[in-house]
Amino acid sequence: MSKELSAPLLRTARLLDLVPYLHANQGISIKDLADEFGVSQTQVQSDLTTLWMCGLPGYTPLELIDLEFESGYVTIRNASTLAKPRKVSFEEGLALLLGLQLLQQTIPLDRHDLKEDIEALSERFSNTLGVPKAVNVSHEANPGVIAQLNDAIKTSGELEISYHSLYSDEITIRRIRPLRIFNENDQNYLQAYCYIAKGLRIFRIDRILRSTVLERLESLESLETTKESTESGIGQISTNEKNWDRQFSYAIKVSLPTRDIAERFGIQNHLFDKGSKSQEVIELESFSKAWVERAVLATGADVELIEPADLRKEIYNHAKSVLERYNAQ
Amino acid sequence: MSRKIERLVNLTIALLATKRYLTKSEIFRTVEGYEGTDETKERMFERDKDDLRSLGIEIEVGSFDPVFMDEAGYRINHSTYQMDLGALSPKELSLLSLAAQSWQGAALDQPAHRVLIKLRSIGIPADALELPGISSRLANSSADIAVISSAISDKSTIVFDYTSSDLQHLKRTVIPFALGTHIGFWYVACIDQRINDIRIFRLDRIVGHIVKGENNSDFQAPTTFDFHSALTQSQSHTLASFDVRKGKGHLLRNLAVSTMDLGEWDQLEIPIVSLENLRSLALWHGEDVIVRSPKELVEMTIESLSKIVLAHE
Repeated sequence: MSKELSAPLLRTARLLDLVPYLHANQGISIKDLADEFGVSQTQVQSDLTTLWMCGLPGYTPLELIDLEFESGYVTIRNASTLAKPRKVSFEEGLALLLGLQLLQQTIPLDRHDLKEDIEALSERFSNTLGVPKAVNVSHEANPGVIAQLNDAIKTSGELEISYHSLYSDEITIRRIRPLRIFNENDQNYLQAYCYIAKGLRIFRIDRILRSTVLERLESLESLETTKESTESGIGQISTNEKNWDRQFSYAIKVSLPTRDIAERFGIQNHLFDKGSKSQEVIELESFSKAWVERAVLATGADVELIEPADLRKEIYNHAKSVLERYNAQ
Repeated sequence: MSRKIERLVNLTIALLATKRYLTKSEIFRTVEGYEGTDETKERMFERDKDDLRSLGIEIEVGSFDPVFMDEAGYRINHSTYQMDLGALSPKELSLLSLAAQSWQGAALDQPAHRVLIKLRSIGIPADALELPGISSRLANSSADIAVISSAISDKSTIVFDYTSSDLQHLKRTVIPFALGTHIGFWYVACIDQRINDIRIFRLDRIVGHIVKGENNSDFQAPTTFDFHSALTQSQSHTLASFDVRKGKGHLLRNLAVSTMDLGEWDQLEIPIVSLENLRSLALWHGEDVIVRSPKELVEMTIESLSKIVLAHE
C-alpha cells in the first residue's frame, strides 16, 4: 500500500475507474473528465482510445466497450462488467473516515442533524473500512471557532473574537463580520470586516483564541466601498498585522545546529548535514522583523544575525537592556 | 506499454464476467494479448496477477470441480472487487464527499481524491449542502499515515529513522498504538519494547519511509491515552517563576498554573518540563519577561543574554 505504483499500473487503475465514472456521468466533456481525474485532455483521449480496444473475450463489436467521444463529449455503452466503482482501499477509507472527523468540527452550530449523520456514518464505516479507532485527527484551530465562523459567514452574522497577534505578543478583542475562509501557504485565513479597524482585515484562524456570537449592527455602508481591495495574496495579508513588513532577506550564522533551530527557521536539513561547516552564513526570508528578532533571541546565542545591520543592532540593544535589568537586581 | 494496459483491463473484465473459474489455458486462448511461447505466456500471466493484486484486486484461485483438482482456475469475485458502502442517501453521499474534500492540499489529498471519484461514480445524485469549506493544513505523506494506521490495526512493529534534537538520524523500532494530531502536527504514540515505555514521535521528524515489521499478536495497547494531555500536561511538580508584564507574555501565560498580581507585572508559576524550553520562551519575550527562579534558569538566561550581546556587538 505504501509502494508507489508504476506509470502503466496507475494508468490501468485509471482506466478501471473511468468506466464506472462515465457510466454515472454520461455525456461529460473531455475537459471536465480531464479535470476530474487530474490529467491532461490528451491523456484522457489516449485513455479512452485504449479502453475502446477492451472488452469481453471474443472482442467482436458486440463484446467491446462502446465509447463515443469524437464530439468532445463522452458516452459509454456495453461495459456493464466494470460499471460499479471499485472497492475503497484502506488508504482511501482512511481519508474518508478521518475526513468525516475534520468535517464534524466545521459543522455550523445549528445543524445538529448533520452532526448526528456524520457520527452515524463514522460508526457504520469504521468496521467496513478497517480503520482503527485510535487514529484521530483535528483542525489546528480551537474547537468551536471554525463552526462559529462558518455560521457567521452563512448568516452574515457578527462575532467578537480574541485574537493573538504572535509577533507583537498582544491579544486584542475585535468585533468582526466574517466574509470568507481561504487557504494560502498551508495556513487557513479568515477575511472579515473589522469594526475596530474600520476595514477589511485578514486573520490567521489558528490564532483566534475565542469567539462569541453578537447581535448584528444595523448597517454596513463602509463594507462595500472597501471590497475591491480584498484580492488575496500574501502581500495583502502582510499589511494587516502592524508588525508585518514586506518580505525581506536576512542572514544568520548557526554555531550549534539543532532540530529546534532547523524547524524554527525552516532550514532544510542538508544545509546542516556536514557538521563542521555549520558556520556558513545562511540566507533566509521573512515577513516580519519582529519575528526574526524574537526567533534569534530565543535560540540563546546559538544563532547570530548577520544582516540586516539595523536589526542586528536592535537585537544587541534589546539583549543588553534585559541583561541590565537582571544585573540591577 | 498500452498493450500491457489493454491486457490487464481485458483480464480483469474476463475474470469478473466469468461465473466459474477460468483455467490458465482458457485465459491464454480467449483473453486478448497473450502471445508467444507457453513459457512467455506463463511469465506474462504471473506478472499480470501480481500487478492486479498491487492495484488491490483480489484474484481467487480454485477449481470448478473439487474432486478433480487437476488444473487450478481463476476468477475475480464481484463482492471483493466492487465498492461496498451499502445504500447511501443523497445527503450521506454529499457528507462523504465533503469529508474527502477536507483534505484538499493536505496529507491524504491523493487517496481522498481517488475516493471522491468513486463516490461520484455510484450514480446517485448528491444533495447540495452549503458548507463553507475549510481545508486541513495537516501536511505529511499519506503513505506514512496509512502504514502507521494499518500497523496499529494489526499490532505490527514499525521501523523508521528519526531526527533527534541534535539532528542525528536514529533508527527506531516501536509498536504504534495511536495516531493523532495536535496544533497542526501529526503524532504517533508508540511502545518502545526495550524500555517498555510510551514514546511519542512527530511525523515530520521521521526521515525517509516507515517500514512495517513483524506482528505482535499479544500486544496490549494502553487503554487510556490522549494526545492532548500527553503532549501538554507535565508530570513535573517543580515550578519556575517569572515576572511577566501585564498584557504580554501570552505563550507563558498559557502554561502558568498560578498568576499573582504585582501591579505593572504579574508573577507566573510554570511547571518545569525542560529548562532549555523555558529559557528560550523567556528570551523570545525580550523585555517583557524576567526569570525569577530557579536559580539555575536565571543563570542560564543571563549567560545566554551575555552571549547574544557579545555576538551582536
